[in-house]
Amino acid sequence: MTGSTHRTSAVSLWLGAMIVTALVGIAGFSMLPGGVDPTFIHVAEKLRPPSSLHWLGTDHLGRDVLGLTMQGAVASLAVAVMAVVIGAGIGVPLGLIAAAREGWISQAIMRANDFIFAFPALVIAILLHETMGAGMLNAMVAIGIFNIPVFARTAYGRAQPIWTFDFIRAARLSGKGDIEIALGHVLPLVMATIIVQATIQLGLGILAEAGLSYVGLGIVPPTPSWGRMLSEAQTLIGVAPRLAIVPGAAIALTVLGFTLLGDALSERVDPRRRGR
Amino acid sequence: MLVLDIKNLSLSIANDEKLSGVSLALEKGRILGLVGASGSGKSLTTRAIMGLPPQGASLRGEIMLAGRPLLSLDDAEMNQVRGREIGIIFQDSASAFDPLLTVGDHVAEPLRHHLGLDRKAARQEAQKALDRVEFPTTIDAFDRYPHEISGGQRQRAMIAVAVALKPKLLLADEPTTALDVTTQAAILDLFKRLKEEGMAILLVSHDLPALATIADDLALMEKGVIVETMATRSLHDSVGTKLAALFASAIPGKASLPQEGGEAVMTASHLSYAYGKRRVLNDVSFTLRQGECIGVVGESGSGKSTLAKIVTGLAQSFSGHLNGPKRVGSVQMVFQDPIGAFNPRWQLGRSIAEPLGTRLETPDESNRRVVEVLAEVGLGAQFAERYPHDVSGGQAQRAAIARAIIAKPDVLVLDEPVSALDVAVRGQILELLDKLRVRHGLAMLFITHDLGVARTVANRVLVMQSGSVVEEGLTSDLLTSPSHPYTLSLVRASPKLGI
Repeated sequence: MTGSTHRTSAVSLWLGAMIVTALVGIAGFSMLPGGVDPTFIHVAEKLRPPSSLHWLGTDHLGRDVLGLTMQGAVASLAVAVMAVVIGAGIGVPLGLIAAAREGWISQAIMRANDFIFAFPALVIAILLHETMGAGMLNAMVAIGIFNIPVFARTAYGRAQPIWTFDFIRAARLSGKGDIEIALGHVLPLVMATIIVQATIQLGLGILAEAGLSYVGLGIVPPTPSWGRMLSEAQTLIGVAPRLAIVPGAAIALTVLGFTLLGDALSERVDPRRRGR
Repeated sequence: MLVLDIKNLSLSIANDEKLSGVSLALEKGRILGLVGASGSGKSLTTRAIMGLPPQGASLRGEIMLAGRPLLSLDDAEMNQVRGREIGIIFQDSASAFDPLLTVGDHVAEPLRHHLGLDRKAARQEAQKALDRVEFPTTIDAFDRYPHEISGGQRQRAMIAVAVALKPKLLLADEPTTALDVTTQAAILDLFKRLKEEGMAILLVSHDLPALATIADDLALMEKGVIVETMATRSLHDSVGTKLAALFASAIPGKASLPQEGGEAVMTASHLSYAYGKRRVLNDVSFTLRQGECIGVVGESGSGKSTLAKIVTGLAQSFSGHLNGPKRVGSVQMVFQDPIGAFNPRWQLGRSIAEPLGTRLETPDESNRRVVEVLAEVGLGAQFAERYPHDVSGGQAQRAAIARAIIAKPDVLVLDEPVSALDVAVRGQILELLDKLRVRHGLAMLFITHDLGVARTVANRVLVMQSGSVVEEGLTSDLLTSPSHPYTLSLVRASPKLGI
C-alpha cells in the first residue's frame, strides 16, 4: 500500500469525474430548445455518411446520429438515477432496520432481499412488461427493484458492526431509542458508503437500461435510447457499422466513467482499501 | 556473553527521527525489560532487530547478534536469522496463526523449513517444544486449530513456535497484554524458566509492574530515546528516578474510601442470565450504596460484562430482581476502549452533551454544562471541538467520564476503564474517578480483571468466576485473608500487590 495506489486512485477519480460531468453536460445541452430534433424522420436522407451537417451521419430513417446519441444520454441518466432513488430509498431503510433488529426481523428482511436478488433485472422487466407495458417507467422500476437488495446489503453490512460499538451503548444510556440512534449515529456513518454504491449502481443502471431497451422492454420510440439504437443498427452492421459503434462506445464510456468514479470514491471511503 | 548488543541505533522515516542513539545490551540467560508509553519506539526497536523496519525507514548504528552485525545482512541472510536465531512472540496470538493450519503444524513449520526435517521428525521435535512450554498434554496440538484453543494456550503455542529452534534471542512484544491476570502470571513464569535454560529475552511492555517481576534489567524509552536503565532489584531504592516514579504511579496509594453507609441506590438480587442454554451469570446479588465503589473482579468470561449490561439496562431478559434508579440517564457507563466509545464523526462536545438529551432548552445552556464537566475531568474547553481520533487515550477516557457525569447520574458502571491505557495515565484516571465519587456521592460498580486496580478504588470487592460470585467482602479483608482458593490465586497472580 504505497503512493502508487494513491496515484492510480487519483487518476481514476479525475477521469471518472470528467466523463460523468461531460455526460451530464451533453444530456443537458441536448435538451436545450432550438437544436436539431433528432427524432425527426427524413427517409430521403437515410444512411448518410458523416458530413458537416450530420457529424456522425444519419441512420436508416434519416435521423441525426449525433443528436440521437446525445439525447440518448438523457433517457439513460433518467432511468439510472430513478432506479438508484428507488433502490436506495427502499433498500437503505430496510438495511438499517435489519441491522438494528438482529433476530427474526433482520433474517426476514435479508432473506427476502436474497430472494429478489435471485431475479435478474431482465426477468423483473419481463414481469412488469406484462402488467404495465414497455416504457421508461418499466425500466426505472425494474432496475430499481434490482437495486433494492444491493443497497439493503450495503447498508446492512456497514450498519451492523456500528451497532456493536460502545458509543451506541452510551447513546442508549442517554435514553435514545433505536430510531434516534439509527438516524443520528448509524445513518451518517453509513452514508459515504451508500454514495459510493449509488455511483456504481448508476453505471450498472445505464448498462441495464441499454440492455432492456435493446430487447424492447425499456424505452419506446420515438424517445432516443442507446440500447434501441444498438438493436436497430444490428441488421445494418455490414452497411453502416458506425450506427452500432457510436451508441456502443457511448454506453461503454459512460459505464467506465461511473465505475472509475465509484471505485476511486470507495477507496477513499473504505479504510481497508486506503493506503497505510 | 553478549547475545544482543545494540550500539547507537537511529531510525528515521522521511527525515523524522523515530529512534535516536538507542544502545542496549543483553546477556545470555537474562531478561531485559523495555518499558515505555505507546509510541515511544519500543516496537520500532524490536522491528529493527528483526530486520523488519517500516517501509522507507533508514537505519544507522549497529545491531550485533552474538557478534554478528545484523544491519549488514541482506534479506536472504536475515531470513536465516529470523526464527532460527531470533525467536519472535507477538502480542495478538489470534492473528499470528494461520486459521487453516493446526497448532502443531505451526510449531513444526520452522523445524521443517530451517532444519529440513521430514514430517515425522518435525512432528516429534514440535511435540518436544510444546512440552517445553507446558502446552497442556490433554490437547492434541496436531488435531486442534488456533480458534479451538484459549488465548493463553495460543500464547503458549506461539512461544513454542518461537523456541522450537532454540534461538539465542527471544523477542516478545507485549506478550501478556491481551491475557487475563492468572494466565499472564503463568506466561511470565514460563519466560523465567526459558531464561534459566539460557535464553536471552527482550521483553517489551508498557506494564512496568508485570515486567518488574521477571526482568533482570529495565530500560525506559521515551520518544525514541533510552532515558534510563537500571537493574530491577535496585528499583525500590532508586528514589527520584523516572522508572521508580513510574512504578510508584502504577501502584497508587490506597484511596480515601468511605465508610459503610449511605443510602442504597441499587439492589440486585439473584441475577441470572443465559445466552441460549449457556448460563453466563448465576445468582448474583449485591447492594450498592451512595458514595461507595464495588469492585467486580474476575477473568474474561467470568460474567463481569454481562453483569454490566444488566445493571445498565442494556440486557433485558435476565431473571432475578434489579432495583435501581428509574430516571433516564441515571445509570451511566464508562467503557474500556475510550476511542471506540465516541462516534468518530462527532466532536467530543456533541457526544458529551448527548445524555442531556432535550432536557435543556437552549444550546447555550448545554454548551455551558459541557465546559463545566470538561473542567471537572481536567480538560480545557477546547476539547469540546476536538474529534476522538485526535486526542490521546487518556484524554478520550476523561471525555468519556465527562459524558457519564453530565446528566448527574446516581450510578456509574465502569467496565475496565483503565486497562487500555498506559500505566502512567492509569493512576491519574483512577484518582479522577475517586475524586468524582467523593464529590458527587456517586455509587460505582468498577469492573476489572486487575486486583491491583480494584484495591486502589473499591471499598468492597465481588470476586467472580464462571458467572458466579465466589467471594465478596471488604477489599482490605479480602486481599489480606482470601478464603476462596480462586481469590487466593488471583491475589498471588497479581504482580502489583507484591504479596
